[in-house]
Amino acid sequence: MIASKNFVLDRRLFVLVSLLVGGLFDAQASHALGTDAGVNIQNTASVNFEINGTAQTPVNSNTVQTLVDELIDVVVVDNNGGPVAVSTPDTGIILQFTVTNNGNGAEVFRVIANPNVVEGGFDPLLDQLYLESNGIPGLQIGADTAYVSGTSDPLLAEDESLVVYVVSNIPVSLSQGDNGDVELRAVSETIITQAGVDNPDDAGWPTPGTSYAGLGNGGGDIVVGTSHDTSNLLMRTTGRYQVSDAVINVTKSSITVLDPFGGTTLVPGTVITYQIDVAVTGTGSADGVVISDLLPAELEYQLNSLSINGVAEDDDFAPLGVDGSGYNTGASTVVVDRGVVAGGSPTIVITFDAAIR
Amino acid sequence: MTHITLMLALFAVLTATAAQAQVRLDNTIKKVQTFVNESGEVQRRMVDADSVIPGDELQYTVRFTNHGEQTVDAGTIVITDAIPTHTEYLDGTAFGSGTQISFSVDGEVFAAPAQLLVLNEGDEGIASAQQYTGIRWAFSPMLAPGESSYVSFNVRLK
Repeated sequence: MIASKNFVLDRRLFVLVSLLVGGLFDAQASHALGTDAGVNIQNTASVNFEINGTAQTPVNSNTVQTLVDELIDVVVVDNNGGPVAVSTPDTGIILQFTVTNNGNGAEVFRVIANPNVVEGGFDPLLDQLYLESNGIPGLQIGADTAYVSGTSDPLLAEDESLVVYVVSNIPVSLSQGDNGDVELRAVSETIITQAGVDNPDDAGWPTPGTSYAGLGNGGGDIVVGTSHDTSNLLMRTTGRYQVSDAVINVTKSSITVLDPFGGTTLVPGTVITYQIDVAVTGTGSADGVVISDLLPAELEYQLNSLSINGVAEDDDFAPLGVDGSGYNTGASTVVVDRGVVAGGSPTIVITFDAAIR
Repeated sequence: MTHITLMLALFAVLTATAAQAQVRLDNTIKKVQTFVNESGEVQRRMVDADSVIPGDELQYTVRFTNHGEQTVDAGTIVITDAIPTHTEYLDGTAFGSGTQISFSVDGEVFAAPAQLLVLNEGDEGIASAQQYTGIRWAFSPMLAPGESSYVSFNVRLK
């Protein structure tokens, strides 16, 4: 796979381009910590010895022990893989998050959604939170549990994850490209009752290491974990709505390599066949979609090798040719003009050959 | 219940023999805490380990003292300790002046690290420190009446 950075999407194009590079999901959801709260860690040593050549009865030490406290750690991850395209106005648009108890004991967490994020953009109109409860991926209204923060807050066992759906409406009269963020945080009930705060932005938010005596699972203390560190708050994250009738994803790969000797070495004369996939998703249409791929000086376009969806495409383009797709020799650029592309259309597959000079 | 009964039995043996024991062991546990000093340097200190959280480093120190009236023979004092359940040994932390230190992965055979072999996904290899379940210190000198020394090791709570 050879990725290209030479894409230009031009002309009246009111779309979001998201090149698919790497994984979509946040990798911060680390594995949970181990030993359960309330476990007693014990240790006893023993000694063998001899006096005047006679083995003596082995002796044990005193047994020392220490109790494992409950560590509160919770991680909230945005599952949306990027902004969720919305119209203006729009209704019932879902953002999905996962809340994971990364601590070492069972804990009740209050899940709070905040649409008034300081970063700017518009404020989504929160409609309803839901907790995944029927085991079927995705929100099924009526089957998954409608949730109000502070009422029946979920109890999560250690390592347990919970999918949370935030359903919002989108205001009218927004502009293409406007962003609206929703912040989701999960706050331990222990912190809410003991520190009297439910927001890291508030005074009195406990720093990691703060402990509450005797409240932990198994009788130990409760200790606030590093996911509450205000410099790196893993206990909250942000999902984003973006006003965009269509979202374009473009990926490029090299599908075959043929060297002058019939092999696959990259030497002068080797012909590489590239494939560019263009997918438009969303409810609307992408207007004036033009894909331009600038070939670097090391590559020579192979005449008449362009094809679109398996159909050969001539190299000329308007005004010389009949359409806007072809190869622009002066600009060393492959140009494919698809005009209006409706969201959900089949992926456009572009292939062409280039030789290494 | 079996486990608790056994612990009680061990305790009974301990109290019964302590009075006549020539050598007594005093086991202590501390938590190793890192902190930044006034010069901005990261330093370590020992604090009480009444309770712990996953990730904490603990240090066990076993002091051995000859409380009897006779000298304990040179080369005969052997102290054995188990890596506590839910913890893993931290490589290189076992200490004991005048001792030869060996380790075990089964609590029965003790050997030098390079000789401890385990099966990792079907392949035989040298055990990692995290796989140790026991430590043994063989103390070379004699121990005269009133003399004492100590051994120690560190673990991390999983």
